[in-house]
Amino acid sequence: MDFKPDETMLQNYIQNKLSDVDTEKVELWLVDNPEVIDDLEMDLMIKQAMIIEPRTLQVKKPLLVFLDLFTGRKLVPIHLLAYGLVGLLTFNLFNNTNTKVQSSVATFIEFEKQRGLDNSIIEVRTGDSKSLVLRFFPDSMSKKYSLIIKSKISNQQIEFTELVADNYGSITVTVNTNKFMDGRWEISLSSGPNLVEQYYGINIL
Amino acid sequence: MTISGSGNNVTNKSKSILAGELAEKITQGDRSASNEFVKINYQWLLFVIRKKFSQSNNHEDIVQDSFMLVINKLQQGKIRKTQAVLGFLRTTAINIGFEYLRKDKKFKSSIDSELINLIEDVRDNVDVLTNLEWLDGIKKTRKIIDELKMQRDKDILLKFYFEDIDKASVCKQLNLSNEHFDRVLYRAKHRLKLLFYKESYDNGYLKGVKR
Repeated sequence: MDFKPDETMLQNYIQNKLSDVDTEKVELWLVDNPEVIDDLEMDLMIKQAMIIEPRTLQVKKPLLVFLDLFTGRKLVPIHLLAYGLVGLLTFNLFNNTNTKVQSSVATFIEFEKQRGLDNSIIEVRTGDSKSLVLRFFPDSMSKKYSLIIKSKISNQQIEFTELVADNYGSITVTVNTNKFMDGRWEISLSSGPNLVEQYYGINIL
Repeated sequence: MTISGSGNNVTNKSKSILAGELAEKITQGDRSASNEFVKINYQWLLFVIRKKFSQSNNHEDIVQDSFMLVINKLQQGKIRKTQAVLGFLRTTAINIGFEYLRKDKKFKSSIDSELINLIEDVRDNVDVLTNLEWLDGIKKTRKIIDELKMQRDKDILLKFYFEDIDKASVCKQLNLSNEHFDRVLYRAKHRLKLLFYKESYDNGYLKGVKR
């Protein structure tokens, strides 16, 4: 096998941007290159530290004000949200200092691209978080998406429509944590009126 | 990300070739080959599964079930192309991983207990980070990131690892050189490696220290 990924391909691999075929090629190449696995493990650990477990990040008030614009049943121009998140989060994301400005906290959850899954439950401890930022990776390419977050124990439902994927193919929405009561919630992502394509579950603790 | 691996993949005997040979031996009834098969492929498969199912806490169970299922099939002669066994092992592990997530419970396999013991023994002696060490590592990583003094260094990590922006675009956005970008990533990973090394050294054992 003469295949050898270059640096860019490995970076795309760690960012989950490769096709299934290329991902398999890279992973089979790794079998004979364990020293690269050692290095990629560190990349993966850093990535997971920033994404996987619902994490609380200190952000200042302007972000909360911004996020409030996108709460509840309102329509969300997602590119604007993504753009705003990039700008504001990178500015304040790791700010843990004792500032006089009252801080608010957001919890970030990224839902991994998992085809065919219908009962993947993520446990979320909202703690002091005032907002949940949820990021999804739709399987299909569609101009618009809808997202419904529905309580399994009540009739409560939060709906987003007209969602547009960003340049990375992801969709991000933000919900105030006070919209969530404890318990299980089902999240369905649709690319059309009756075309639910992905289900996710979260359990608010 | 450092690439120092071989392109040709044949150094004396590569792991992939060795895996194929071991698979053939298992098929022919050599039970001792199973031990070596698990040993040489454990770290690789665990990494693949950790990356694929980052939200799961069952990585080691998924890997263990995958080995059990594949070795069982080899023993029954159900895998004909033994040289392609790693591709099969990988696909099996991914399918089992989805199975775990879908059912929210352990994959049920009908494998004999002798094979389970064999894999657990190998696992205990393979130099990999256990689930607990991995989760602990994630916490340590957060601390390392929080302790970075330069806001721009944090921004680099955030853009690359959280926003999945490619290196060239990060450099352009933050007006950085490629070298600066590489340096920040290298330092973060290096500190992480040192932490693991120090902790394992302090604990008087080397398991989990590979670097």
